[in-house]
Amino acid sequence: MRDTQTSAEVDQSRRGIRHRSDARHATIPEDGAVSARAGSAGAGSAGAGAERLGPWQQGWRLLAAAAIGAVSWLSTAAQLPEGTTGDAVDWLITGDPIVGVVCLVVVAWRRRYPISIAVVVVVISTFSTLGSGAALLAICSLATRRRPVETGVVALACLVSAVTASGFYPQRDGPAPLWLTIAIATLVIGIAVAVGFAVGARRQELRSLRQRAEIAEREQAARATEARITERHRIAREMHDVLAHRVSLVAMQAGVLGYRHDLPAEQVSALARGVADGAHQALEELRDVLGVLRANPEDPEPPQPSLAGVPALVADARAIGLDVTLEGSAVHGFALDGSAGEPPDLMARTAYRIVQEGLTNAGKHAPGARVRVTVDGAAGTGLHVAVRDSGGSQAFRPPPESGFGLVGLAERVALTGGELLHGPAAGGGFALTARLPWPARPAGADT
Amino acid sequence: MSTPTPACAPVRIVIVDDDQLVRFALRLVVEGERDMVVVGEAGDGDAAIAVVRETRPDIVLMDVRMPSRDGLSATETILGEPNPPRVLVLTTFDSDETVLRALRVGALGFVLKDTPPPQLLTAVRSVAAGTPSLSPSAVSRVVAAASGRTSARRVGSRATPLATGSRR
Repeated sequence: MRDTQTSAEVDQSRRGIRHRSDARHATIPEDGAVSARAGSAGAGSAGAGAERLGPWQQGWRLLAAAAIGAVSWLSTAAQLPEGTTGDAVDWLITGDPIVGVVCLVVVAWRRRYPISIAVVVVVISTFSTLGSGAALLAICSLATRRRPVETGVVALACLVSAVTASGFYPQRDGPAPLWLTIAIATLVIGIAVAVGFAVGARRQELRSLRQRAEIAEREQAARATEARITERHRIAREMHDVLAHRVSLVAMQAGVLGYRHDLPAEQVSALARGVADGAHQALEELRDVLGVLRANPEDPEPPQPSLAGVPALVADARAIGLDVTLEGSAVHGFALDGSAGEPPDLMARTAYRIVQEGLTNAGKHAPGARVRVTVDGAAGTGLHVAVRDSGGSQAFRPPPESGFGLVGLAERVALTGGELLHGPAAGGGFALTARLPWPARPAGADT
Repeated sequence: MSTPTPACAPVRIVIVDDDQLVRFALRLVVEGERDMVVVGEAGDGDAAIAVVRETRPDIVLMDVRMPSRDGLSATETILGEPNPPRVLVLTTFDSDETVLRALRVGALGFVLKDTPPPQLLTAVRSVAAGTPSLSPSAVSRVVAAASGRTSARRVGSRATPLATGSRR
């Protein structure tokens, strides 16, 4: 448990990037679920992915709906022939406003259950002129989903409702001709639908722009990190070269002192000074190397991940909702007892990155899928790493957004002399597999 | 001092290294031997070619990393000239790349700078006699390369040019 904890902390900066993307991916299952059940009324949140409205945003929309309703109610009242009494007038004064208010209240949930609410409001607004504004708002909101069939059906229902309701109250000038009623209702409903479609298109565009910006930012961050690490390693390597030169010079000078006992005193002291100075400079340079490696104290370089961190990675993936199973001798062998000997650093790190990338991709492209992570192998035979998912709940699998992760991964794997394969798996889903060479003897044998 | 089988004429040596302290130390080691004499020094590859033309030594102790022209390129030029000396490469690093390149350009020996003086002198004598001499780690690299098996270092071979490429 402690292990899991530490490796989780340890890899934090790396996952800073991933987590952000995960937070976004975590919302995808909802949307996916909606598109899978698009036909049924009252599915989850709007397919358009509309966010929850703030009180003010919700408020002005409802007020506008109420205002439209009020105008409709007042004009109906004004159209009543003078001195009219009876059930119709009673209803206009009591029932109509009550039903209208119910419509306005109910329509507040239009984003949660777009189709159900639209149908309900359209139907009951038949009995309320005050509710007509709410019905228009519901249709407008439904249209932002940009699904012609469902919008069309509800709009037609609304038209029928409006025409039916038009004969409900007596009018001073007698009933308007049917064609005029239909034309006006069609016009008003058409405007609501058109506004809804436009708003939906705008939202979709904004969302895709935001998504693209997020992806670009993420890639940028990944590139910057990668570049920083590369540069730091380059500096460290250069300093190592300088140091090695310095130390071998010290060894040479000391070797001469030990070998030649016939040297004049001034040469002996020159050599001794050379040894002292060389050792001193080497120490200074050593401190500089440490300084370079420790640069940026508020963003400390995490210790490099290894196979021991794989279970923590899997736990993270489970936390964001993936159904992950972890199997393979290697994971248990090293993470738990370490009996089979430490795998080479480069190989372990690469294996970790493969699992990380595989799980991130599964979360991104196959939400709700079952994922199998396998890390298997032994010294001498090589390490087999695989991340396979069963395919997402979505029928349509979007292609990897950038392929950036897989490209970088292929590079890493190539550096270890291994082989990386990825693509659709037999029987559906996606598979990311790699075979990494694992020499029988530890690679540390030569410097 | 140990003076095994003094030859009729001492082995004439040129020392090439960009670090003056290294040249100084090497000179002290060689000058302690009765069968060897330092006839010249050079601080980079171009100077080495000039000094070799001028002094006609038997052996060149050649560093690899040097400003302007590196030791391996200088070795190639020197060995391309008529009646060339033998070259013993003396360096800080023995990466695959360096060892194999040194042998390819015709160096007869490859020794690390931190080799203790007695072994260093043995290498000089063996190269003077025309026998190749390699440091133990260089031998294992050559064996790995010849057998086609990748030594562990080979894994990083793509990164090696970077390391050797950054000449000081």
